[in-house]
This record gives sequence, structure tokens and C-alpha cells, in this order.
Amino acid sequence: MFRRNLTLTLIIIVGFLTICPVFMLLWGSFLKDLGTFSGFTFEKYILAYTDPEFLGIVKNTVLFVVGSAFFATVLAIFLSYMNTRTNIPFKFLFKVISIIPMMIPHILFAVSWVLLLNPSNGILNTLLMNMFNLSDTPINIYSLSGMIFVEGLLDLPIAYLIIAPAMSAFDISLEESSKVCGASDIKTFFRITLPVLRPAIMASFILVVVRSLASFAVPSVIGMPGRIYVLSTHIYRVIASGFSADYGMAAAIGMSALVASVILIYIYRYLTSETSRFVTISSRGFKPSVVNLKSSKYPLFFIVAFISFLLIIVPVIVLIYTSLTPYIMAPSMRAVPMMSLKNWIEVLKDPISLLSLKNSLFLGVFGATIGVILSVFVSYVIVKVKTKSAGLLESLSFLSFSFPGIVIGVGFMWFFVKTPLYGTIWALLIGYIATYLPYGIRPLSSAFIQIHDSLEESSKVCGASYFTTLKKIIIPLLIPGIVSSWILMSTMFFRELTLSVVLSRPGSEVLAVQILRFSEDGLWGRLSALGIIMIFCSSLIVVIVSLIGKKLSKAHV
Amino acid sequence: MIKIRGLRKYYHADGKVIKALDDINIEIPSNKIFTLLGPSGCGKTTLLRSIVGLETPDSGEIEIDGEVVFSSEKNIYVPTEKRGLGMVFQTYAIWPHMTIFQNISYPLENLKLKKDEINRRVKDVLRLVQLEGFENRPATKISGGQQQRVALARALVAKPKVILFDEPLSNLDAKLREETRRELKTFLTELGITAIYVTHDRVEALALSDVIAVMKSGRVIETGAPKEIYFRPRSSFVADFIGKVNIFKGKFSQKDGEFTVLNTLFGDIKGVASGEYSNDKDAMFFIRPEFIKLKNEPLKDLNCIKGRLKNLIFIGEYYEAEVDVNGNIFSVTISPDEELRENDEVFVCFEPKYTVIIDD
Repeated sequence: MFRRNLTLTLIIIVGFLTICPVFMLLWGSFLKDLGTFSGFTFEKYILAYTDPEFLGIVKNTVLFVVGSAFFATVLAIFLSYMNTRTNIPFKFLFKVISIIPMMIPHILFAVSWVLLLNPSNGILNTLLMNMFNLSDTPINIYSLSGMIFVEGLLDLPIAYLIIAPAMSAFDISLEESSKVCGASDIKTFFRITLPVLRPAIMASFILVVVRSLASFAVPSVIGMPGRIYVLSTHIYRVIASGFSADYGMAAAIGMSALVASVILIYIYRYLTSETSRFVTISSRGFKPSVVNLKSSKYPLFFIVAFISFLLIIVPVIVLIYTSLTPYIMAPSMRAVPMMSLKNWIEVLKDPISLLSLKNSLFLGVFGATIGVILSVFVSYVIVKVKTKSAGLLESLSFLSFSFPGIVIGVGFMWFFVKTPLYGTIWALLIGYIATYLPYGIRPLSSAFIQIHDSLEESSKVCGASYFTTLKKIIIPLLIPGIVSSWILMSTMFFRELTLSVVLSRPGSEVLAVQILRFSEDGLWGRLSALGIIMIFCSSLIVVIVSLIGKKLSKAHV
Repeated sequence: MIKIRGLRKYYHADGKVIKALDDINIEIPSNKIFTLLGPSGCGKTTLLRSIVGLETPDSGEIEIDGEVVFSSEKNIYVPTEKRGLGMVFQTYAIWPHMTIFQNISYPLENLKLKKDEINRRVKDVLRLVQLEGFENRPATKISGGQQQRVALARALVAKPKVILFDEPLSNLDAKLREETRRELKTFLTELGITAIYVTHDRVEALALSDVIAVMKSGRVIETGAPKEIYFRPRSSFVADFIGKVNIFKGKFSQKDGEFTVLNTLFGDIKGVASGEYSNDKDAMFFIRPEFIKLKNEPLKDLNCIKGRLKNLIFIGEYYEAEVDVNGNIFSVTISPDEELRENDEVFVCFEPKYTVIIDD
């Protein structure tokens, strides 16, 4: 009875969170103006899809998403193979590559590449110009290939996290028998390894396509200055163009991004269910056969080290350095006397920056806590209550995974506009939880899966009451899941850009939006200072919570 | 003594009714090892879980040592944690976030015992299962065999009325399984505790039990001591499930002293039948391969049938072979020192007292 009521309540809450914005988006796309809920018109669709620019935007979008997915997946295959199959040294670097980049907000990563490679005074560009006596800057990041390069690097960890486990789980004897049949390592890789891993590779490719379709940081920071628009920035342009913001047209454009994304995620889920059937995981084949790289060992290691350098060290150093200089300048003896803390002081005096920091901290701490509480109940029902309605709840809660943030932001905009929540931080909170619920549920449902029924049952047989079992068995076993779910949600909330860019209004600014404003105004020094504060706070929260989690799971026994 | 009366539990799946427990009536004697044996899906685990209270039957009654713990009629359900039983789970269900000590002391804590009493009893039981010195080991840092013993210790430590085992050896590899089975038998016999043991492995059941109950589709087909079940099964299902067997049809013809004569396509076969039967009634006889001797000529007082030796396979301890009697195949075992060749003409001979006649 209790379980059934819980399931129903959760279906209502999660259904409201995920279906509402989509419904409002659909409805809004047929309405004339934001806030007038009467009349029915195809005008917005006609306007949106007969725009002569639209075809070019679609072309850009396709090139951008396919390009970055290809780049990220190829890199991920290379790195996974190096890590799981070869004797490459310093393997801890791979863990670093797969985790650390998630700590750096995408917008800051994109900005750091603008600082390095913008065509007028990019740091790296200037250095190259001086070094080779060029008359012009050699690289222009404000281009489609620049966008693909940065987006590909950003999505590399996701691609790696899909491909690497598949590669290490795979039955080595498949490769061994290929070698017995006389094939070389390289031939085995292309004829056996890659084809067997095809479902995982396809899944990674599609997931990166979905992510870059929803990506806003790179298209806005790198694409817009070069006048290269993709769907997400096109929508942004429609709603952010001052007096004539057209939310109906934004909704009409958003529908096509939403439909594309949902279809892709459907294919992705089909492929991942396929993966488990395809790759044979055997515990006995646990001795990995290692490919000896011989003389190419160190050159290959250099490539891996370079990738991790690009992913982690470069953005942070560039930001720290720029936060100390008055404008973008290549490091030289001339720059040293000009360095100062001026940008830091200005940021710390800027009321909007401080407000955005406060708001982001509130969302990252309080908002994530609410999100985790909801996730605990949802994952409990998904894993432990095996009824049809629990299945419905599962599909509902993973639905938002396929919604591009900016599109869903437009949907929420239509939803909130007539409520007192409009323009408040609570609107952001609700939007965040709706969008990032799958991130909270993932680690918790795997924690619940680990709590096998027999662990609870044996506690009962040992004479423990329901509450003793809860206190001594279930909660301690859940704590690691709760901690990772909280950390994931908190970091997502703390850096959130795409939803916020639509929903935040004066008074409800958040960090990422403030950074976007700085970048639009070219205030690179202040941007860098605020960015460093952002990275620092986010990492600090993660460290504190992991420590608390460790303490708790020990104390509870 | 555990008394189970009229226990029923039906599941509904895809519009079909699955009878997990279909009118179970058994008495489980005290201080004996009682085994529920049957193929998977026969309801043995459901019965075990009903006794311990993790499963609620639809109807019937369960009484443990005079106390009714479940009765649909009287509306009694004593929750699992109040039944005072011990159980070893198939997966062992060792709590991974606790040490060995914490795992084992848990039932005692729930009894609210004093600290030094708990310490003493955990120590005692650890000695009993030969895990002294493992107290502070994290539960995840021990082998499968050790986990099995921790689970046993945890089930024993509170001195339960009954200890229940749900296929506890199925996660061990073959060699360790045989060893543990032997240890467990000695251990439980010495302890003299009431044990209910669930398994689908007939060898395990025969080796361990004082009493075996064979189950099929939610019903208890037969109960008895291992030897009774093996030598004198009362149904062809039990005969076949508990070991390799040759079964052939026939009709009752007459009594011959202590034996009954069955009219078969091999002529008259003498055997043991329980109960009285009327003439010409359909029946069958069965004989286990190890009781068949191959002879060059028929012997008096034995059932002997002429046939041809086929498919002689050497497997170490003995030969496995078949004897073809006009297309009817007898499985036999032959001692390795016999000098027989395929296609030899032989007589299949077996004693009437090992020939069992049943009428199902």
C-alpha cells in the first residue's frame, strides 16, 4: 500500500517535471505571444522554417555535432585501447582524463580556448606569430573547426566512459584466437576489436551527438563571435534579442531539436541494451593480454600526456594568467610589470558577480539536496518495486536526459511566465531538478541494486526490526550512492548555463550566465577571476562532501 | 518439531496461475537435518521462506515448537524478526560495510545482550567455524568458503530453534563443495540442531540429510530417510530424480512369497512392491544400474534377460555401458576388471530385492 502510494506520488511529481515543459513548449509554439494563452497559429512555424538563414544553421549544426562526435569517439577509442590493452606507462593519467575535465565548467573551457586562439590577440596565436615571424595570426578559433575541436575535447570524457569499460570487459580470447589464426596486432584491432565493440562505439558517438546538439557553451562563446550559428545559439538569438524576444518562434525551432534529440536517445538506449548482449563479459578471462608497444611506447605516452595537458592544465593556467593581466596578452617580460589583482578586486566589488555566486551556491547546495532526496525515492521505486507503474516512473525520469537544455528552458519559460515563480531562483531550481534528475538517479539506483534483497532479509532473520534494518544496513550501504549523486547534481547545478540563460532574470543571475555576459562584453580579466572562483568553490564542495560521506559511512556501522 | 498444515501459495503471472505451494502437509522432526529436494521451480525455496516469514502463504498454518507463527484461519503472522530462527542465504548475504565481528554480533545486538556476553559468544562461534582471528577483517576481504562460514556463524550465534539453509553450497566450486558438505554434516550432527536444508542437488541431499522431502510443482511427493528414498521410491519421478535408473512397463501377475511378479516384455520379472495389487493392473519396475550384473548365462533366483553389449565407455572408476534387448536399452555399470567387449552377448541379471515395482 505504502509502496503503491509512493510510486503514484513520484509519478505525479516526475511526470509534472518532465512532461510539463515539453507540453508548454508544444503549446507555446502555436501561440502568438509569451503569456497570451489563447488563439492558435502556425505563424511561428512558418516564420521559423522559411527563414532563409535556417538551412545554413541546420547545415552548421549537422557538421558541428557529427564532427565533434567523430573527434571525441576516435580519441576515446585511442585512449581506451592504450589504457586497457597496452603496456603504456603512467596509467593513472587515464583516470585523470576521465574524471577531472568534469570539474571544469564547459563555458570556462571554451573561454580558455578563445583566450589562446582568438584571431586578434589569442595568446598562442601571438606566440606563434612572433616565433615564426608571421604577418597574421595563424589559427582562428572562431570557426566551425574550432568549435568542433573544443566541443570534441569537452565530450571526450563521456565517450571514454562508455568505450573504456566495454573494451576492458571484452573477452580477450576473441583477440587471442585472431592472433592464433595469424593476424597481427593491428589487423586484430581493426578486424576483431573494433567490430565487436561496434555497439559501444555507436552508443558513444550518438551520445556525443546528443550532447553537442544541446551544447550551448561552445556555440555561444566560440561560434557567435564568428557569426557561426547552430540550433541552440539560433534559439538564444531569437529570445535574447532585446525588445523583440520571440518565445513562440523559439519554441517552434526548439521542437525540431527536441524531436531529433529524443530519436537519437531512443537509438542510444537500443544500442546500449544491445551492448550487453554483444560484449561477452567473462570473469575467468581476467588476465589481460597486453600489447607490447616497444619503441612506440614513449611517443604514444607523449600523445596521451598532451591530451590530458590540453584538457586540464591549459584551461586553468590560461584563466589564472588572464585574471592577472589587464587584457589578453602573450606571456613575456613586458607582461610581468603589468600584472595585478585589479580584476579580482573588481569582481569581488561587482554586486552582480557576488549575487550570481550566492545564487549558484544556493542552487548547488540546497538545490542538489532537494534533487538527491527526490532521486533517493525515485531510484528506490525503480529498483525495488517491480510493478508496471515503477517501469513508467523509470521511463519518465530518464526522459529529460534527451531534452536539450535551452529548448526545455523555453518550455519552462512558457510554464512559469504566469506564475509568481517567474524570474525567481525557484524557477531555476525546479528547472535544474527536472533536467538533471537522471544524473541523481544513476548512482543511487546502482547503490540500490547492490543492496540485494537477501541483505535486508538476513537482517530480519537476525531479529532486527524494520527501523534497525534501515539504520544499520540500508542507509550505510546507500551513503556512497548518495554522496556521488549529490556531487554529480551539485556540480551540474553550480555550473548550469543553458537552462539559466533562458530562465534567469535580474536578481536570479547565476555564475555561468554572468561569465557569458563578461565574455560577450570582452571583460576577459574579470571573467577569468570569477571563473577561478567558480572552479575553486566547486572543487571545495566536492572535497568537503566526499569527506563527510566517508565519515558517515564509517560512523553508521 | 515444525508442523505445516495445508500451506498454499499461488502466484499470478501473465494470466496463468503458478502453484508455488500446493497444499503442503509435513512434520519436520526436531534435532534432525531435514532436506527439501526438488528441481528448480518446485516450491522448495518458497516453503523455506514461508517458514522463516519472508514469504506470506495464501492459506494454511505453520507451527514451530508449539508456537503458531502463521495461520490464515486465526489471522496470525509472526514477523520474521520475532521468529527466532537462523538462516544461511544462497548468496550468504554478508553485509559488505561491516567487519566479520559486526556481521556475527548483529543478531545478538538485536537481542539486546550485554557487550561482554556478545564478545564471548561471537568468539565461541568463531572458534566453532574455525575463523578465529578474523574478527576485524572487512567482510569483503574473505574467500567464498570463509563467507559461507561467516554466514553459518551468524545463523548459529543466537542459538536459534531452527537453522535454515537455502542452497548454501551452490556458490562454491566442486571440490570445496564436497569438503564443505562433509564438514557441515559432521558439524550439524554434533550440534544436534534442527536444520532445514534446501537443495536441488540429489547427492548433497543424500549425503547430508536425516530426512528428505522430494518436491515437485508445489507438492511434497515423498518423504523418507535417504536410503528409503533411494532404494524404495514410491513414484517414478522420485526414482528418476534421485539417481540413474532403468524403468520398464508391465502388468501385475501374481504374488510369489515376499516378492511380486510382473509380466513384462522380457517375461516375468520378480520384485518388491509395497501394498496389494490386483492382477493385470498396469505397473512398472525399475532397477538402478549399479545393481545390474552382466553374466554369460542366466542365474537361478535372479531376473535375467539376454541382450547385446553396446557403447562401452571407460570413465575411471567403472565402465558405463548399455545392453540392447531387442531395442530396449538397459543402462549398466561394469567393474573395470571385467573383460567384456562391445557386441558381446550377455545376460542382464539383477536381484528381486533391488527390483522395485510401482504402479504410477
